[in-house]
Amino acid sequence: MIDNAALQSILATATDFSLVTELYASNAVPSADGFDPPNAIGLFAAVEGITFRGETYTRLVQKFGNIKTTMTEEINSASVTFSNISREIAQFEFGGTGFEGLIIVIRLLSRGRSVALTDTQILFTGRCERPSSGDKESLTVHAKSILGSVDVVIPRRTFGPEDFKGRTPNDPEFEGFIHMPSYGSFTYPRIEKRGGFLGWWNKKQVIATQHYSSYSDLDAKKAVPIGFGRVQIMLVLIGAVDVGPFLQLRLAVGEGPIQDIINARSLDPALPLHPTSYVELYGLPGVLNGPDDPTWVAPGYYSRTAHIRGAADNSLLDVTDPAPEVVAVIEWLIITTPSAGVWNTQAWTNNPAAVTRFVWNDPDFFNLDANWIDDEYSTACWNFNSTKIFNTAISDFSFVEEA
Amino acid sequence: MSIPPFEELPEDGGGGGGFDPGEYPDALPGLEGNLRTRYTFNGVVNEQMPAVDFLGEVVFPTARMFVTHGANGKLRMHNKKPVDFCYGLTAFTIGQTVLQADDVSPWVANDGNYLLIDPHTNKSEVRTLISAEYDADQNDVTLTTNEATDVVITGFSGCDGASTPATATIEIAAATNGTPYTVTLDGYEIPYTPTTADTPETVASFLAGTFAGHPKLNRRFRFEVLADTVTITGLFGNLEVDVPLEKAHSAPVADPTVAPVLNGINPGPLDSGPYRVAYTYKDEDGNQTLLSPYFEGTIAANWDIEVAAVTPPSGCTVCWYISPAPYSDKIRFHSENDGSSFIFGSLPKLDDPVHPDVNRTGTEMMRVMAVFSDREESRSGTSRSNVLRASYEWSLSDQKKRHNRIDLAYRDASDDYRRIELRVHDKQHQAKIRKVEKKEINGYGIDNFFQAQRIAFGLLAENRDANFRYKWTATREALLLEEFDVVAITDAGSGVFNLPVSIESRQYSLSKAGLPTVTFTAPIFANTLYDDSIVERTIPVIAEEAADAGRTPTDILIIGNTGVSFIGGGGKARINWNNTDGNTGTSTTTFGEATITVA
Repeated sequence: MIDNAALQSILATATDFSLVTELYASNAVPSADGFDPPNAIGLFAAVEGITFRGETYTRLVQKFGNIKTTMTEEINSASVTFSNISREIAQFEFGGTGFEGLIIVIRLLSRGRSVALTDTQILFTGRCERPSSGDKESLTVHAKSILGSVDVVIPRRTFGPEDFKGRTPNDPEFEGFIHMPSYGSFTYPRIEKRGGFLGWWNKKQVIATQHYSSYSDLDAKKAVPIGFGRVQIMLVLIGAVDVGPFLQLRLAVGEGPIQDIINARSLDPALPLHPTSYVELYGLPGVLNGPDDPTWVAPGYYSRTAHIRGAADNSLLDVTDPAPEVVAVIEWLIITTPSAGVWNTQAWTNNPAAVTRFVWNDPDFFNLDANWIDDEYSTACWNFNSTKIFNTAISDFSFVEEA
Repeated sequence: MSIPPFEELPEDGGGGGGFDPGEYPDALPGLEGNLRTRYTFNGVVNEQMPAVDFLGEVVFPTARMFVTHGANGKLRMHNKKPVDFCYGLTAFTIGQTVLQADDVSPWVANDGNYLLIDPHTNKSEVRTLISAEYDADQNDVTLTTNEATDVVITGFSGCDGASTPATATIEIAAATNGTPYTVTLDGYEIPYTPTTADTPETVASFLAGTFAGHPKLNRRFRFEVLADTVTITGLFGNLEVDVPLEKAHSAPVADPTVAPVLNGINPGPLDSGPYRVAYTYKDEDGNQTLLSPYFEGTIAANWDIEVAAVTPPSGCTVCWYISPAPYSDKIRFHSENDGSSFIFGSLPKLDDPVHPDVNRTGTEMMRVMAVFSDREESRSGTSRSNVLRASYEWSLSDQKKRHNRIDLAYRDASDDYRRIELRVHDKQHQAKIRKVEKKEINGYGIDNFFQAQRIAFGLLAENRDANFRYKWTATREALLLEEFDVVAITDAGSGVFNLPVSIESRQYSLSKAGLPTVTFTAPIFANTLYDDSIVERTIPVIAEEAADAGRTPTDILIIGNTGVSFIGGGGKARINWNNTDGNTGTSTTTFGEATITVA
């Protein structure tokens, strides 16, 4: 419940209420008391003569549609129909500004008693959609919650070859995946049978040549995994090559920066991971995700992709072994966490409040300015989630006395 | 009698086995392994999906979260959790204004809003709080240890009988491996034996978490840990309400203190092995005490177990509990009777009800943000109607299916991250409608049984018991209400008084561009829906009889013919009436072969 005695008094007794709507730039953000009309790019009401915070509202609202707000999966929504009789609204829509993407606020105020922002009630805040139709008399603008109006997907990218920011492959921060095939050959001694009784007496050592080329599981339709907390996953093969006695491997974990890669292991007991020929890269940007070994299969920094460079032992010399499947426990993303109530500390966490805030705030996802997030509530949620409670699943008799 | 000492767990007690405890998330060292972080998210997304769906369908279910826009337009994340509530420590009589309660701390900090007393019963009433004070008896609570050198106790003091509670501290100076320690608070002992993995900090954390989990202590004290020191704060005290109570509210039923007594064994179907048997008392409102001390006995194959009669307190029945299998560390509800001697001739299943984790037989009191009533009603503390006329309606099933099974898939980190599907049922409902309606929950962000269990049982309760929504329209101060605010509903026309509901959605009607009206949709609310418990409890909707129910036709005087429509032989009659008591009203009554005698 909104804890505001002044507003409660106004709502209980005032008789001069008006609804108004305000339009703000698409990058506007609310203050602690919400949006402030002097910062608006358009102020509209259904009646003449409304002023608030020193600003005058233009009488252009023909009708307010219903507002629905909910805590279910449904997206909060609202609509306002503007009068186009004076053609001001058509000019607003066609004259360069346009409604699409603007922040819209629907506010309830008392014409006589509302002085401060806190003397009014904001009934809806959201982002305008593009008006679907209009005519010489009216134009209706629909709006959705700030979260519902953006098509954002997670994970943000796939193992495709393109960089969504247009960087070229020679840029260390290039985030695409290009498989650079490597090939070559090696020789090894081989015993060959040359006939005789059961082939026992006629054997000969020959020098055999084995050709190899690298291969990859990169698939442009496969998403680059992103994780939170600690999970076990199977790594994605960026590249592998069987160079004879061992396989060179380069395996992707997913989106970085991550905290750690734990207990990486081959699922093929015949091809275990080499204990020391092994490097973990935690998905930092550009050259920080190195150093790279250009002689290893599929070289590159793989900016912001956590991965490992390793080798699988015991490969047979005369056959090309498939790369073993490798699994690991990943302590995944390092994200923003609170410190004494201030969300400014980058750390690994598995707190769902931090995960939620990350998705809202991160430039790769909703990209909402931190001012859109009421961190007093984020911190309360964080604290509630992180409370240690007694694990009653251990036993039904933890606190039950025995006769 | 005493509870067994706590020790370091060999593995995650809530899951499978075989993994080094240090290898799974949130495994805490030493004795702290008895605790768990309430909600964690440990998941990976490897197929692209809308981020809104990721939050709503994957992240939020792991922590019972939801999001709203605040009054300032900012995004706010919330957990679904209990509102401020407490239980009465004594009976409350008609006319009483000072109510002794187990936790008054929320009201000492903020005595605003309304106090709903005895929700979900026909004794419910709403009052406004005048004051909330801690009880000076907090200073007399005892806190002792068997090793005063290693466990430094500072006893309770400081309560002023008003707004300052008593506090005490336990400082862990040392945690010697293998040494048995005890800390006893208010007569309840916590025994523990540190291991090599323990430090003063882990022991302090363990003690705080374990005391906070103790069903006889957690309602009356708060436990906070900082490094090696636990601070205990007293919570109990008195609430004073503005208007005397007009209903009597029963005292809490004391927990049984005597274990059941074996009466004998008879030829029967049970397998050989040890079984544990215990019981609770159940009061008239359906709330149970904590479990009695348990009796453990071993039988040979093909016998049953007979226990002697127990005498429950007046108005109570006895609920019997027994292990679902020999050697089990679980105990489940078996049967309910009047306390007569009882024969366990069968065993419950693991998914039968677990035993209570809190004695909820005291009068529950909770904070509600507003009260809506369709008339002046003293029980609701309302002097007038504050809902728009004829806007009350309730929906039983149009919002969601009435799911009676929750399927929650999660990964168990302690079992090499194996995928596990946890199913929880409402067996009674399935049997009643002869149909299973399942709801699948994406629990891939959950990596332990304890969290999965709490989420699944909570969702089942929410989808079954709370799947009854009230809808009404109001205006003015009602505009200040937000999602998940809990309010009380009095719909006298339907016989519903002070029903707590939590607001799920608001629809503003702005057709006049002036003062809007708001239509709320709100499912039933109970604190037990959102606590950390998995105990099954029924949340009834009490529809009381109408004020004119039971009157004979000769009691009713029909005044005038205008507005009276009457169809005999099975139709309906709407009549304006007054009676010899001077009451007036309007009734709609279905009649059979009806005869109304005009007095």
